[in-house]
Formats: sequence, structure tokens, C-alpha cells
Amino acid sequence: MAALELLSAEGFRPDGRRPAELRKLRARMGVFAQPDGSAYIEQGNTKALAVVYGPHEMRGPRSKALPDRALVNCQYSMATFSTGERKRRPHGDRKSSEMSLHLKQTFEAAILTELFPRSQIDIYVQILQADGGNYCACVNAATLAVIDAGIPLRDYVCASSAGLVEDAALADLSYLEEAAGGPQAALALLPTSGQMALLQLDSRLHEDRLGAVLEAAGGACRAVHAVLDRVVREHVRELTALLGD
Amino acid sequence: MPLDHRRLQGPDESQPPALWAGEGSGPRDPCALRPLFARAGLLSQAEGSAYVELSGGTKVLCAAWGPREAAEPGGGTAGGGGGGGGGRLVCEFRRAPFSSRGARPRPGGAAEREAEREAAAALREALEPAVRLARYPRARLAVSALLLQDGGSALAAAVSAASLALADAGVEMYDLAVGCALCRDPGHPSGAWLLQPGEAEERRAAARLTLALLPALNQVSAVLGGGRGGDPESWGEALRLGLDGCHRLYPVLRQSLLRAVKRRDAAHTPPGS
Amino acid sequence: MAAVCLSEAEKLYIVHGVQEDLRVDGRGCEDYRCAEVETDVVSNTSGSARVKLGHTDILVGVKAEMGTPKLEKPDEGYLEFFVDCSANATPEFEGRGGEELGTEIANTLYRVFSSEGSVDLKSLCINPREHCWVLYVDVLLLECGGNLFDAISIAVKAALFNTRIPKVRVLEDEEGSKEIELSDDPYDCIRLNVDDVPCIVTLSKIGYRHVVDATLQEEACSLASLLIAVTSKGALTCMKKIGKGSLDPESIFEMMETGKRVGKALHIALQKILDEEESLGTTRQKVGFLG
Repeated sequence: MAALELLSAEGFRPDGRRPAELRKLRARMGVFAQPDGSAYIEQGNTKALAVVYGPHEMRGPRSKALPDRALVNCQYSMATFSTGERKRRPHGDRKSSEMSLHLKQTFEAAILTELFPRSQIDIYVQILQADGGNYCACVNAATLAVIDAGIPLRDYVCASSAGLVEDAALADLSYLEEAAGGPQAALALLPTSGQMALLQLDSRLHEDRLGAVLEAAGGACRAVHAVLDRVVREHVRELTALLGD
Repeated sequence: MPLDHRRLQGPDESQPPALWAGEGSGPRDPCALRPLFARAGLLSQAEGSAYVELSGGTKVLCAAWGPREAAEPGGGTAGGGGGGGGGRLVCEFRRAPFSSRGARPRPGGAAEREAEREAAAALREALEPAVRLARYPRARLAVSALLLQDGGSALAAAVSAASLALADAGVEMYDLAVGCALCRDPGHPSGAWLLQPGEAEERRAAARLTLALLPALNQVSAVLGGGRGGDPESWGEALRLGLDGCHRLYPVLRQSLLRAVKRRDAAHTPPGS
Repeated sequence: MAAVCLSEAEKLYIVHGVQEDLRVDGRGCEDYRCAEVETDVVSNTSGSARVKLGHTDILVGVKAEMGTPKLEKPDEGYLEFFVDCSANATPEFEGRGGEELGTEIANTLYRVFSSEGSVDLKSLCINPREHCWVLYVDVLLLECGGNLFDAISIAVKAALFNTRIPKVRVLEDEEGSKEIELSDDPYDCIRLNVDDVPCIVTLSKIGYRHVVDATLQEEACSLASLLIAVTSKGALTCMKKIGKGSLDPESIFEMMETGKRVGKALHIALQKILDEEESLGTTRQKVGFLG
């Protein structure tokens, strides 16, 4: 069987995108009323929800409170119907625990936690439909939710994935491209300062190619940033319009 | 003629003896209650205990423990009934591995555990309104029911037994919760309800209902039923029939509680005084 | 389930309002809140629906997978329910915190759907004793603003209505071995008949009266509720008391009557919306969570 062609001779990907092109990104803030902040994001067919509770007093054992900064608590879960084959449990398996940890590390780097000593910030993300780039969609959704909750951030955290196929770096991989098993990287970037909050690289990649992949991912992150910024500004404009008659 | 010992010397045609036993002797009276035997205070290790048996094979043994300090003070979960500063009632319902007909289910199997947990939740909801939980702040009361034999109407029998056991343990209660089960016979065109169905009746029933009543207050503490759809009138009729059954069972339970107290008094007072 | 803290005065205000048939949000005792229903929101399911009832937000996905029929019913498929109380609804549900409520709701759904004829299970059979469709009905609780059971049952019904199961054919060759062939045409599929799928109506006793579709605040004022499953024809298939209080027998009779009346109206309204959405077909603008 011929392997699936991930990049045609004309330079198109299976879903018709150019290598550096992102999937359609749509987002909305303030989806729910009860949490302090919430957001929903669609990146192509990947759909994610994020809610933020806090900063609030420590829940559970107080000994876990940090004297100098806030504790960031994340939970990543996937709806049982989100994947092609039904998942048995939404969270608690190894992959989701790892993902929760990654999210925690990402947002500890971005939130100004030292402003809220001895308190806790809960970030819960839920994948409703999975089609590649789950981590990235979660980070982007969580960023919007954190902003919606009014928690001070150093900068937006924008995430995107990138892979390498036949010497060409592809941005924002879909499930099909992820499943092909080539080298791929997930990058969470603070775009204004250009600092990386998290970089994860899977499978073997030659050192010389790393630059190209990172550049593709970074470019995608900056593109995501532009969209997220527009969403936030629009949301704030709507809110102020509601407030001031 | 030599006898062939290997061959069974019987008539050519045979009938199972069950045919001659009077089982299923015509339609039974739908309002008939199965005779109930109840005895309180029979276990010495538990603070309160009760045993309830319905004629026809349902046997439930129940033990109760009075107020203990809750392990996690005030840490009652949303469903734990810990609100209002009152105590917590913890219920457990177990089916003995030999309790039901047919193949012995694997004890601790997922399906078995699930069914037990659901029954325990139903038991708690039936008992909570009867117990004065507000009198036991930050405490927990425990009830454990063991179904020895399932001959139908098991949950209803467990409710009666559990409330007897709680009363026997000296827990303050508003009233005894009396349980009663009903089922609708599928054969009946009008959908008549039968009180306290046996296991066979329960298995082929079109709909089932379990009720619990606090007779002195005339308050229904549990309604749990389901099955093929029926009019509200039909369910209402079932409810009325079941409540009537509960009222009729009440004196039996009271009697057994009184007898247990008398027995205990007699044991405490030295003979001859 | 944001924690509700109500003072005695606030509770009294709600109870007195209910007595006068005027609730805090201006509804009468038998009125539902405004509900939003949208089907086909998750594309990699066989059927899905999202229901928003006040602040209660439910997403249901139905996935059809092939399995073996149960031993006691060799010629029927079956339904599996799973309820995920996600931490989105409240931080208390984080980790395993939501499991207790989840299994309670799932058990209630099993009980509601236990009546034969709510869904035609025979149509889910592919070949007896060997293959059948198993419908995994997964409920995701996103936000909880009171009256969970009703919202979930509406969402389950809408998702089952939306469910499309691919048609399969069983081919048998000379040696008797069977092969299952999936239809090539994605539009060639089985639809479920949901006419007899019941909806749950929860009636909460507040003071001397009962209300439908209680908000979280009203639920805090109510000690006991009666949950009734009603089909579109007005038949009751399931009854359950929930809460730690008890109910007067007379009020149960009244609640059953109200439940039947309200349930029938609910079915008519839901069916109308579903049919309307269906008639729009592919021209419908999908709103999802972006609206």
C-alpha cells in the first residue's frame, strides 16, 4: 500500500493547506456564567473548552499552599466521544496526566503567580472533538479563559504544532499528519517577548532541521496570537458596550 | 425374567413433581401481603440489629451503629447528605453470593458492585427522612444490610430491617420507615398490581415499584419504580395499594421492636428483683 | 454546581413566591426556563446534541460501535450510558470527585430506558447472537445550574434523534462463515424512532407546592423532589424520589398529574424544534459554542 502523501508535488497537504498555513481558528470568550473565566476554541475540527476558577483560597490540604505564589492546578480531560474510537474514561489515564502536567508548566511560566500568594488557580480544559493539536488548542483556549477571568498574564500564551515532511516544515498538524509518525514539535510561545513556555519534541529530528521546524511553529504561534488578540479585543469591546449603556 | 438393574424401572411417561405441588394455584389476591417475620436485637456485636424475613424466601439481616465521630468533619460530599450541619447516614447493601437463584455471580464483579451501590443509595434516601440527623451534628451513623436470600421485594425488606436496626440501636428517629414492593403482572390486561411480589413474579413483571412510608407521619420517604409505561392513574393506584400495605406491616415491626426492648430489659434486671 | 449559600430570609422569599405562583425569575410553577437545543455538534459521533437550560449546559454524544448481544437478549442491541461530571461544572468534580453523581445519573438513565419499547432495540441487531450495535450514550456535564436530570434527558433524546447508524449487510459464503459489509454510501443509514423515548420531569417540593425545572437556588429550598419519566403519549415509565426529605402521599398524586401534563407539552415542544432543525438540513448554520 502506498503511504499517504502528506505533501503533494504541488506543495499541498491532504486537507488542501499550504505548509505554513493554519487551520481555521475560531474562538469565543465568556461561554459560561458560573466559572470565573471560560473560553471555547475551534482549530479546524479540534474543539476545546477551557474554564478557570480562581484565584481562590486553597481547596483541600492547606499544606500544599505556596507561601510566595499561587498554585496553578490543571486538569486535562477528553470527552469519551471526542476521538474516533470511543475512550473509556475522560481523564486519569497516563496521557491525560502528562498533558495536565504540561499545561501546568506552561501556565506557571505565563501567569504572574507571585501576585497571589497562598492561593490557587484552577484551569480545566476539555477536548470535545479531537483532530490533532490537542495540546495547542487547550493552551490557546486556556489563555483566553485566564484572560476572561481577569488574571494577570505576562503575555498571551500561544501554542502551535509543527512537523517535518520531506524537508518541508508543516505548521498546525491535523490528526492525519500526526498519526503518520514523523517528527513533530509542540511549542507554546509568549509572542511579544519571544520566550518559550514549553517545547516538546517527539521522535528523531536532525539538529540542522530543528531551526526550520521551530520557525514554522513560531510563525504559527504568532498567527494564533493575532487571532486571539482580536477575539479578546472584540470581547472587551462588547463588554464595555454593555456596561456603558 | 431377569431384572435389568441399569435401567430405571419407572413409568414410560413422567411428570415433574412440581406439577402436583400447589404452586401457582390460580391468581393470587393482589392485596395479599406475604407473612412477615421480624426480630430486632439479635446480633450481640452490633449496637442495633434486625432480621426480616418474608415468607417465600426473602431474608435480610441488618446491623446499625449509632453516632460515631465522622472521619472527615464537615467533609460530607454533595451527595453525602451532610448539609445543614446534621450527621451523615452511611448505608451499605450487600448481596450474599448465594442469595439468588441461578449461577452464583462473581462476588465483587463490576455489575454486582454497581447494583449494590445503587441499592445502598436507595436505602439511604429511604432512611434519611426517618432519622433525626440534626440531633447528631458532625457524626456518622452506619447501617449495613446483608441480603441472605432474594425471594423478591428485597429492597423493601431491607428498608424495613434497616429502620428496625436503627431504632434498636437507640438512634433518635421520627418514625420507622416501612418498605413495600409492588409489581405489575404482564399477563393481566388491566395491568393489576400485586403487593410484595415473589422472585418469579418480579422477574416477569412489566413494571416494578418500591415504596417506603413513615406511617405515623403519613410521609412517603422513598419511591423507586420503573418499567413499561402506564398512566399516572395506574401508578397512583399502585401507590395507594402499596401505602396500604405499609400501614398493615407497621404493627408487626412495632411489635418486634417492643419485644426486643422487653427482652433486653429482662436480661438487664437480675431475676427475682 | 456552584455552591449556593442562601440565608433564611432568601429562602423564605423563594418559598413565599412559589406559594403565589411567581418565582424569582418571573416564571410560574409549571414553566420551564428557556431551553436551547442543537443537534449534530460533534462531527465524529453518530449523533450528538447540546442542550442549554438556563445555566445548565449538557453535551451528549452517541457513538455506535459493534459488539456482541447480551446472552439473555440475543436478538437485540443495547444502550450503554456514561455520565462525565467534568470539572468544568465545578472544581469539586476534579479527579474522581464527579464519579458519585455520574453513576447516580447513569443508573437513573438505565432505569428510565429499561422499559421495553423506549428504543427499538431489535433494529440494532445485525445478526443474532453474534453482532449487534451498541449505542454508547456519553453525557458530558459542562455547567450545572439546577435541574440536571431534565436537561440530560432532553439532550439524550435529541442526540438519539440525531443518531445515524450505518447500514450493514451480512454476507455468508459457502463455508458458512459470515462477513459484515459496510454500506459505501454514508447517507445510507438507520435512524432511530424516538417517539417513545421518555423525558424526565423533576418536580421539586417547595413549601406546599411543587415546581418544575428548579434553579440551583430553588433546589436549595426543596427537601425532596420526585423524578418522573414521561413518554410523549403521557405514560409514566419511571418514578423516583430524590433528596433527603419525604413527601406527602397526596402531593405525590398531584405531582404525577402535573408531571404528565408538563411532560407531554415538553415532548411536543422538543419534537417541533428537532423537526424544524431537521428540515433545514445542511443549510443550517451550526452555532455550537460560538453563538
